[in-house]
Amino acid sequence: MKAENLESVYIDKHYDLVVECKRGSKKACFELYRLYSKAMLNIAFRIVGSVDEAEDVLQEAFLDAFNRIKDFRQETTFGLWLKQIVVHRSINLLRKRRLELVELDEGHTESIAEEEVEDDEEVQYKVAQVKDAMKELPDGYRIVLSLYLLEGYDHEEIGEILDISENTSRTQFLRAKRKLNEILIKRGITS
Amino acid sequence: MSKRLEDFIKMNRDEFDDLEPSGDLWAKIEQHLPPEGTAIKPREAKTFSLSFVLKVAASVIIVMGVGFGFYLHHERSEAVNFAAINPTYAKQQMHYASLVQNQRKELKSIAKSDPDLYKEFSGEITKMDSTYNRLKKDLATSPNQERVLRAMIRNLQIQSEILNQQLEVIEQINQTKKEQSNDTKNI
Repeated sequence: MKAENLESVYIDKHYDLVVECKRGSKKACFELYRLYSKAMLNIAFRIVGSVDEAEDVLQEAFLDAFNRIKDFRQETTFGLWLKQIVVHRSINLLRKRRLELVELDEGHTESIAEEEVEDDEEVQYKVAQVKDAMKELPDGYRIVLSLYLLEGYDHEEIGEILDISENTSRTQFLRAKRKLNEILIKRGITS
Repeated sequence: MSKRLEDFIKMNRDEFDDLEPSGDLWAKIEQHLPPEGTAIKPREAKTFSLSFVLKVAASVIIVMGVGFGFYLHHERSEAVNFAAINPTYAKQQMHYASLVQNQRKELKSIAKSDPDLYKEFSGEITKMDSTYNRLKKDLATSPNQERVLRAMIRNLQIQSEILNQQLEVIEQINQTKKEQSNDTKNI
């Protein structure tokens, strides 16, 4: 969690809010919901790939967190803790949907050279287009790419979450990135 | 290539979070949360609305009512629980209490013919009975419950003896009345 580790060194900005919520204050719980629901929804969406399912995950994750908050010892921030719950629940949902993690098969761990497949020096990326292109990635690619680039997990952590080796995660990430770029170029995103 | 894309995504990280949770989601979550204990309110609600005060007043009345009901019930059940003090005494108490009750009934039925006498007799018993009730009330708080219970039983024994005598007197009176009527018939 490279970036996150820095964050967890610092005291949780919302430490007191969590304490209040632990004491059973619904107002404090709502405040936590207000602070984190949007980010968590987007995390869930990037994994499950559907808004409805992402909302289901969000609802369950918050309930899970509030029900277990008394056991949360606040050694990490509430945000990181909640994110963990959201990610795990999202992955479980995909698993239930019989996600074919074929692409995550250990057999494909041959290293991929980061060669320049196509010259994209002139390409001007746009967030909306990148996001759209991400939706077209296979589930396995999309998950690794989002967890690594957007959620800040490292390959070791992703390996644990997805129950794959660190090396598979690395390879998977490179493939996902290449595939994403292909999609973007195919769509003719030029400056 | 990929490095640029990677950097671009990291640079614009925040813009990737564009979805907003639907408005009713919190309501769905709140629905499943355990009901609130004591928290939050006091800090924000320095002024109370009339309806809030009324609600509080109503709940206080209800709580007091329920409490009073419990109190009465408690008192009653405590006074009845003689067996916990001394099982033998409890049996005796029951025995004499029912004896007294039967004798009183008898007295009532026999005394119809002589209301004045009945009034006199029942007056004495009523005095005894009020002593008994006072003892019964003391029993709940007494440090020596056995002694009070013993006194209650003694009281019932005396009541029973008095009633016995009263019944005998009435019987004698009735007998003499009968004899008198017989005598007049004989004459």
